This record gives sequence, C-alpha cells and structure tokens, in this order.
Amino acid sequence: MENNNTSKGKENGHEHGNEGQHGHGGEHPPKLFIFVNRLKFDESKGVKAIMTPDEIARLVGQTAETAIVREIHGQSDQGTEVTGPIEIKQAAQFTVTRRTVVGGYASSARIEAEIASLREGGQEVEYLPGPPQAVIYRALEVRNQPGLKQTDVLLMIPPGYPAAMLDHAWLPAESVLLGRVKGAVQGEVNMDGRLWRQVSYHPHAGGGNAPWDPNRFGIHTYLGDIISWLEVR
Amino acid sequence: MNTLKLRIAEEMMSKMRTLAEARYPEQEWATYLECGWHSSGDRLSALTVVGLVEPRVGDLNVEVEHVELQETYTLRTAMTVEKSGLAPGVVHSHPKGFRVTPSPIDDDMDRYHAQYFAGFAPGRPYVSLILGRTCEGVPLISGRAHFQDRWYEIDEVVIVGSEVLRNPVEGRKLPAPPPSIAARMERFLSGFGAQSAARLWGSTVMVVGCGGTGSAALHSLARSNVGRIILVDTDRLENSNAERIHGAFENFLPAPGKAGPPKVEVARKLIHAINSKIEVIAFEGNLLHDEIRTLAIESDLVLGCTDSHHGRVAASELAFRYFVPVLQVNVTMETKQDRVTGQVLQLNRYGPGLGCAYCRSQVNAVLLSQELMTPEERDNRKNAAEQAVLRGEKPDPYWTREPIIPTVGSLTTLAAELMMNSTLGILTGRYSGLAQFLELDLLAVDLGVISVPFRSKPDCSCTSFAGHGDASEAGRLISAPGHWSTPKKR
Repeated sequence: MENNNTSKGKENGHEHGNEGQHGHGGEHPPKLFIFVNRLKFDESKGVKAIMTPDEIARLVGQTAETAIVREIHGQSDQGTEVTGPIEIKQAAQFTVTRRTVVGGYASSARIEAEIASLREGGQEVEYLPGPPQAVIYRALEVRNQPGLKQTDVLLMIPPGYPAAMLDHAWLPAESVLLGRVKGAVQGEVNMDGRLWRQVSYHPHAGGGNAPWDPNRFGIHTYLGDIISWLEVR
Repeated sequence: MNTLKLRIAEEMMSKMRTLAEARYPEQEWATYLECGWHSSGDRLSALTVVGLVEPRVGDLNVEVEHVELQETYTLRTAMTVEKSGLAPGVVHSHPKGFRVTPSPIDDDMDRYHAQYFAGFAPGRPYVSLILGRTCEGVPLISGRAHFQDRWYEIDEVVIVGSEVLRNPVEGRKLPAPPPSIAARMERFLSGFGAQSAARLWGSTVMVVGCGGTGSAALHSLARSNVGRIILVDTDRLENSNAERIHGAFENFLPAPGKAGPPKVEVARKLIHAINSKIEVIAFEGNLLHDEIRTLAIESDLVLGCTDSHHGRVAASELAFRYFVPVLQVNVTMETKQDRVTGQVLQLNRYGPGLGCAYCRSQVNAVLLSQELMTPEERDNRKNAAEQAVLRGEKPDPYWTREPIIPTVGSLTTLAAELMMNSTLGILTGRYSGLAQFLELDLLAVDLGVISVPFRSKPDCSCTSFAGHGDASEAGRLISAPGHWSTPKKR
C-alpha cells in the first residue's frame, strides 16, 4: 500500500509540500461563492475569480443574449449592468433577468391571420398548434430536381414569436433535397406523424434577407424565402 | 391538478381589469401583482390579490400586440415583493373574443417567472392570471399558481366588497345536486334557478358555534341543500340549551349530573336527518385552531355564531386577511325589573375595507383576554377580585364579571334566518344589497333599525394587512393560546 505521508501526490487538492502556505493545520481557503437572484452558487457550480456576463447568466439557465446581468450592492439597489468580464468578490450579489418576458395569446392570433392570408393566396398551409407550434407549407414547387416536383416544408415557430425570429427549415427525413439545398443538415424532429430533418437556413441572419423585423416579416413572408431556397442549383 | 380559490377586493378587481384592458380590444397588456396566500404544510390553500406593481413608461413594449415585459420591470417587481413579503404574480389580457386559457408562450412565461421569483420570494407562491372578454363583452378570468414544485389551477374567483361575486373560471362546471335533492327544491328553483341549486350544492359553509343561532343557521343550511357544512364548537349539550338549540331532541338531553353529547354531534344528526347526503365535518374546537382556520379559509362562507370576543376578532381577521366572506350575528335581550325591554339582534358582514370588529368597536379587550386565560389564571384573578372587594376596592382591574347574555329561542332563530338571507345571496349570487351592519330591536318603535356602512380605519391592521394572508405573520391579531387542547374531529 502506498504510504501517503511520503508521497508527493495531492490530497484534497493540495500538495503536501504546500502545507505551510495554507497556514496552521493546513486550512483550506473558503470556496468562492456569489448570489444570483438571491440563490447561492459556489465554485462547484462554476463560480470563478473572473467571470463573463454569459458565465454568470448560465448559472441560472440564461445567456448573455437572453438576459441582462447586473451587480447589485444592497437590498433595494437595482444594480449596474455587467457588460464584460468582472472580478468576482466573495458573496457578490448579481441579478440575471430575461431581457424580455413574453406572454399573451396574440401570437396565435397573428399566426392564424398570416396563415389565412397565405390560404387566400392559394397556398396550402397547415398549422400545428403544438406545443411546439409549427406550420407545414404543403406542396411547394421544387425546381431543377429531376423526379421531384414538389415537397412539404416544415417551419417550427419559436416561443415568443413574432418577436423571436423565424429561422431554419425542415424537410422530410427521406427527402432527396437534403444536402442539395443550401444549408447543413442537422437534427430531426417528429411532427404530424412524420420525421423531419432540420436544415441550417437563416434568411434573416446573414442569409440574404433583411434582419428580422416582426413588423415586416412573418410566416407569410418566410414562404418567399423558402421558395427561393428550394430552387436547387 | 390541484385547485384553489382566488379572492380579490372589488376595487382591486376593477383597477386590475382597467389596467389589463388598457389596449383593448385587440392588443394585450399586463401588470405584475402582489398577492397573499394561505398554505397548510406543503399545500397551497387560497390566494388573494393585494396590490399591483403598476408598469411605468418603458416597462412593456408598446410596439407589439402581445405582452413583452422588460427586464427593469421584472427586476423591480422582484425587489418589491422581496421587501413586502408578499407573493409575486402577473396578470395579462387576451384579446376580446379569445379564450383565457394559457397559450404556449404563457406557459413559458409562467415557468420562467416561477423559477425567477423563487430566489426573491422563497417559500411563497407565484400567481398568474389571464383576463379577457367574450365577443359579447362578458368578462372572463383564469389563473394558476406555482407553490412547492406544484402547479395549482384557480377554479373560482371571488370578488369581495359591497357585494360578494363568485365567478367560476372559464370551463369549470358546477356539480348539479343529485336528482332526489333537486326534487325537493322545486319551489326554490322557480325563484332562484337551477344554477343557484348547483351553487348551493357545491358550496362549503363553516358554522362557528352550534348554540342557539348556529343550530338554527345550520338547520336552514341543510334545508337549503348546501352540500358541505363544517361545524365548530367546544361545548356539550346541557338541559338549559333545549329551549334554543335546533336538534336538541329529548333523547339527547343529559341526565342530571351527566355530560351531554358534543353540540357538533347534535348538529350533525339534525343535518343528516334532513339530508343524509350533505357532507358534514365536525370539530370540537375553536376557529383559532390552525386546522380549523385552514378549513375556514377554504370555505365559501363562514357564519360566526358565537358570543365570544375572541370569536369576533378571529372571524373578522379571516375576512380582512384572507377575504373570506364572513357573517357574524349577535343577539341579546335587555331586561329591567323582570320585564323584557329590548330584543336586539345584530348582523355583521365583514369584508375588505368594511371595518373589522375593532373598527366597529365590538371588542372588549378585557373580556377577550379573560376568555383566553388558563383556568388557573382565571381562578387567581377571580380570587384577587374578591379580595379587592373585601378591601373596599373595585374588582375590575383583577377580574371583570363575564355577562350572561339573556336570550330566547325565537330571537336566536330569527337572527339566524336573517343571516341565512344574506347567506343565500352570497352563495347563489342571485340578489345583492347585502347589509354590512344591521341592528334591530324587535321591541322598539319601527324596530329601531340601524344600518350603517362601516369603513376600515386607516391605521387599523385590517387596512395595513388587507389580503396579506399568511404573509406579515407579525401583524396577526390573535392566535390559539398554547394551553388549549388540540381540536377533536368528530
């Protein structure tokens, strides 16, 4: 059996040779901890000496994109926003609050209105109320693909739509278009009794169309993006 | 799914709806709330709306049709409830003509809020309400709450104020009485309608005190086919009660020197002799006992039929802290030289803003304290009073003689039926105009009617802690003395 008294290996995270540096009796420094939304997090949960807003936000399941991180200094202080890496002080208090919390029925009403306008224009569209919500554009024309004249395309509607933007497109899992239309093939989802594959198509995030604006774009305009996308080159 | 009631003061309901409908009929709006609650163990029992954390400019995105609460607003609400000790909540509107069932994004919003507010308001529920209107403009409401990792559905909203309005939430069906019961209510149905019968059958009423007024009230409740009746009394039947207590049949009266049956047992037998299908829960206990208090908070109505001062305080605290509709009745006969000179009955309706027992000057603090003393303390004080008299001093600082209130069965029954009239109005919602305070002297010219609207005094607990429920425990006016035995469920 190895004799730990003579070993140079680590015990409890501290090397034996360093005992003197930890003071009398080899005491360990207290774990660094902070409070986020009044909940305590320490090093075991990811707290460290320097943290970014994103790292702080992720402690409570958010990101720097979805939430605002603030450091607060008193019970009623609403705090100052943390916008970059910050040195963490022991027992520092932070709040991480979603930038927007979305609620209401209007998004369903809006979806139904947009679908109605598509149908009035002659497009066959099916709404899946979910959750998760989705629409299926039925029988879209496919150009330049021998043996395939039309296809269904699934569009998942994100929570918080229309503030949250439409993104990606989904093709039937067996579709010959996968790998031929623009965008990498990613995960799969089962909707309406069929398996669909997600394609990394981002018309409003660098994909050619203007940045997402809920006042200008919607399910009815996304159809135009999809139709362009289906033109196999 | 667990269900519970939400109670809200009339003025607050109006304010909340006006705010939520700020962009009606097509666009939605929202406000955060502060709420009170009652829980028993890990079970949430009841909710109240205490106040609004109203939005400021910029707190909601006006560019969208739905609701987008901004970070500053959410954070400010968290800080507000952290300081107040109340429970956080949110109310938003759905457009006119749309159902008030939560949408998928409402689900996401509520999941987030429940988790977010937990750190700022530990151990407290999170409440979410949705308001709307039908195409015809009829108001709709739905709601849910999260507490101790469980979601609760709000199945009834009760608006309490000058009236008591019970609104089953959208989709909730009232249980119809069994056909045999409905057959007995034919005359009632012709005036009140089938929905009233269903409301009575689906109601729970607590009767505190099963003496002269209480027994008459519960007798009437049974004949009205109220489906669930909770009985509370510590006393046993005595021969002297026979003149007043409904159900005190000869075979129940105790032999000399023997203890009679518990009054709640006598009451239960009377109820079941009238309608064996009514659920009766009986306690030898007091409204101050926690288990009984929880049942009172969960009831649709509490009838206070005791003549104790602590009973009045307990009943009125239920009304202002938890917004439980409470009716309290008192009776007394005035006599002078062997003649009855007055037959006085008083009916009180306690509710938010309507003044508690203290606002109405109905509490004698000395007598209340004596009611709650240990038997030893009572004996010590009585002895001290006797000694004071012997010394030529007044006995009052030591002991105040507890008045024996003379009364008669006809008076207690009349008082109870007067209370029942308000009871039917509250439970069925079929009529309004309920008095907040009514006093009659049957022997006075024109019955000496006094009917006054009380208002809560601004510096009274019933104003400061209105709707707070279990929050602000330090502000509770009364609780069960430690020497009392635990209640016995019969």
